[in-house]
Amino acid sequence: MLPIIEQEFIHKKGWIDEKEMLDITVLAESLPGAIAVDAVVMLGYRVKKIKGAVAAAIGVVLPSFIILSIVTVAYTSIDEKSMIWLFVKGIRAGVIGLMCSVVIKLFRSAVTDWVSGILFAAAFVVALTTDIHLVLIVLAGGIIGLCLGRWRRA
Amino acid sequence: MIYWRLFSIFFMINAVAFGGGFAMIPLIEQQVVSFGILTTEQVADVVAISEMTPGPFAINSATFAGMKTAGLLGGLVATLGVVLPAMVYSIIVAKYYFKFENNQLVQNALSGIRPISVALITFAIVSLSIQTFYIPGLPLHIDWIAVALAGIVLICMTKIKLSPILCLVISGVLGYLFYSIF
Repeated sequence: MLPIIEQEFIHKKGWIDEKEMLDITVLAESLPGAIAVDAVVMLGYRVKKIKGAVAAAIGVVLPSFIILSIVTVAYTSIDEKSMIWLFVKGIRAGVIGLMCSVVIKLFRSAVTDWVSGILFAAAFVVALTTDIHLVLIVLAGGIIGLCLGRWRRA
Repeated sequence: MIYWRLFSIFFMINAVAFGGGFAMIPLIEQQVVSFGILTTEQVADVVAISEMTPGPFAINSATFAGMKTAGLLGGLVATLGVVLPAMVYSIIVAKYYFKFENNQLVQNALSGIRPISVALITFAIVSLSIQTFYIPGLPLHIDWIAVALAGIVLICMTKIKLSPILCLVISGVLGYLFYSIF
């Protein structure tokens, strides 16, 4: 999605420059939530303040919302005894393989030293063995990251 | 009230899920499944649908979950829950753009969050695998076809580097063939 945004905003409309685009990409990836939504809202704000941000948000949400509404209606009407269901079952199994391939890639970029290795292992064990709210584990990671940063500089 | 619940669940997830769509999967699984809004298998279906349609996973999952539980209005409030935190964060960041740039504190926090996000996604894969591969009543209780399909997709993604859409279509077609033969 980002290459298309770049094409439209920089080359066709000239609303922002390459450097701004790069910064926005990096910032969107650092913010929580959907990266695409974060990116276009920031772009919209840079161009036309709050109005631009709202317009951009509506623009990014609407196509997905319409497509998914149709897909959901179609999906809900699939009979579990029909032959299409076997196709869905195949895809469900395939999704696990897909997620594994993504997680391998993410693991290589996120777990780079023994500190991140310990955080990875600890979070996995806590999630597996307790019923703790996962949001709390994520927040704990943020706090640990902040403390470690301070400790590293000291 | 179901609308408020849908809104608040997706609002909370999107307010804290760092790292984009995949980081949301474990949170969605815990929250949405525990409230009985979707089953674990349906979360897998949303992942598949998101990979096969354009658009962000966050929006797709909210629309799907919302519409399935409470119709069009449900889809709307859940989607609003996705967009609102993103709007708030992004506008603040865009406003203080240059101050935020290279913000060391944010980078430090993210260095702690990233490995944990990956761990939670791994955890989500484990629970999804148990749901998908373990079938009580079968010999050895394991759906070997499903295990094989997951393996095939993993190889297609990592070794042959096919697109996700193609991989899922292949696994759907193979699943159709295998499940109807065996």
